[in-house]
Amino acid sequence: MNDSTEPADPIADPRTFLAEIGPESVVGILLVTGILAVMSIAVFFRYVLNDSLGWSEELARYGLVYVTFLGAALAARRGSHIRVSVLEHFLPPRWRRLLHLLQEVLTLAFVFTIAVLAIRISGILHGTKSAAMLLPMSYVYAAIVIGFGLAALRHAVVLWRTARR
Amino acid sequence: MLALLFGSLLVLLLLGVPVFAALGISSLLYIVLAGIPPMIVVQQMFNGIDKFSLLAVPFFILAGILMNAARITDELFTFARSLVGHLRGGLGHVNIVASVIFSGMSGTAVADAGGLGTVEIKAMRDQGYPERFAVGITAASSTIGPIIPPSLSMIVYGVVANASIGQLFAAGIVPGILMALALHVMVWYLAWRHDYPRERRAGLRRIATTFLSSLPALVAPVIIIGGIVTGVVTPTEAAAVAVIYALLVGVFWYRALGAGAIVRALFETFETTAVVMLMVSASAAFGWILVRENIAAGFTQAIVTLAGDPWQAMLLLNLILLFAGMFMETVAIILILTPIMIPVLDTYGIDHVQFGVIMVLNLMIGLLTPPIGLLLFVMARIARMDLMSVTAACAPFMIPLIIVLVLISLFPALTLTVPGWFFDH
Repeated sequence: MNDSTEPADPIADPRTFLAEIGPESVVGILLVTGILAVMSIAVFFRYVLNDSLGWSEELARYGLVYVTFLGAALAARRGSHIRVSVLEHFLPPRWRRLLHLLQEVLTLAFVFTIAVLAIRISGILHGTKSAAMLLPMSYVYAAIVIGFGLAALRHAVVLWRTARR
Repeated sequence: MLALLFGSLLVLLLLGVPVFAALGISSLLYIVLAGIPPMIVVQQMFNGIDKFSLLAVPFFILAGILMNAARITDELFTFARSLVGHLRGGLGHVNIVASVIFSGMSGTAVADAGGLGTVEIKAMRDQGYPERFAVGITAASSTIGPIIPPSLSMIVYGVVANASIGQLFAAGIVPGILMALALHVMVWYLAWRHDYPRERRAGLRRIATTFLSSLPALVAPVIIIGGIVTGVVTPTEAAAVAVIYALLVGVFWYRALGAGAIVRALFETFETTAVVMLMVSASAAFGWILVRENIAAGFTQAIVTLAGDPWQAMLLLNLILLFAGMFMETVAIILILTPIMIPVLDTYGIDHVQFGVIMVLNLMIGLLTPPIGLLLFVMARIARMDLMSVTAACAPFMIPLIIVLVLISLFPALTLTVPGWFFDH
């Protein structure tokens, strides 16, 4: 911690920041802001105007679904997933790299499988509409296809880089 | 099949596969081998996070980050200092008081340690407190955060255990205050033994000025906790209000929040929320299998053969949680162990709300234990110490926390009285 009283600007250079967070985070930031706005408007309507909005809760929930699955792409690139990292402390560097490869392969296989299954579900549920907004459920399940699809690509890149190192 | 589900999960976790993928892969494996259509996994992963109560997760995370960024923590610290700084070992007591107030707006121990902790450790170093004491009390007092509402861990427990989040929040108030009192006693003892410094007693005028300048920060917990516990707002709505409040106070009152800080806070919220929610999502598929195959029955059977009385069962559950807390992250443990432990609670007539507080306190103690203790890592980073020294520094402060854990395990009234005032059981 530095001793100056003024905190440094957290985003000194927008371009570096953008490269750090990636395009999925731009969407993620907009989604979090949007969910907050929708919920705030809903609270205002309910307590100040005594009128509840039927669609607000559903919209916010689906926003959170998109945040969750898009975040998988970000977490894949930044390695921010929560995991038990005991074993690698006891391994020599060579084995540690192999372990890292294995972790990436397994995670890649999982997100890829789920993304493919989600494509099939989206197809089946295209005719089904959500309760409040009458949105086709395929649009909501698309969050899994897009998020885990991107995550699979990201894991593949990490895998490629680890393998070549 | 039971061995397959838990065996594969355990192996994947030990290999260091991300928790959400480990849960998902073992669920998929089970479902394919049991001949169930695998699409059910995707549906459960979706249903598991498509819940109104979970919207509180990003909001409480964001509110905590914003309040730290708005330097509300500095004001709180100054106010607490004018109140109890004159006691022997004053800054140790200040540390606890500030943590209790900050707990009322923040939902995670890491937000407390990372924000308030930086201010606290610096002040204690400047006054010549031993490093060990400063780091130990800062880490220990951070564990109060998720016990006093709001609390990310309690929201997740409430969703998995199907317990009222409002009741869980109300149930945490007394145990949180007990933790603070127990830590005060510990500080008092250490300060007396090692003759720690004290500060000049602040005059009434100083107390009044620091009170006024930290007033916006002090009002936040009253709005958040008051609103939820009295049932005026849902926890999700309260969380949204907390964010708006933090934004208004940070931008217009303290003038410490710029556009850059807000965008970064939103980004950190996006990342943390997704990482937590992905685990919630995958654990829903895992939990679905547990219920469908009635797998928890075996676990309950094992506990029943070992424990005759409820208190013995409680002891066993506590030990399992403390052990798990040494190796895994809080939310991950709540997600995996809650569905297994709920039938045991029902067998022995243990209240789900009481157990929620017990579980979270166990896991908070786990944050202070090696080899995997998130708070140890945070403290090592902000105090620039090695992990071994941080671990040693935190060890004595686990005694008061364990005493509180024993108390709330033995006496349901400590957790259930306050929710009883506000909710029909």
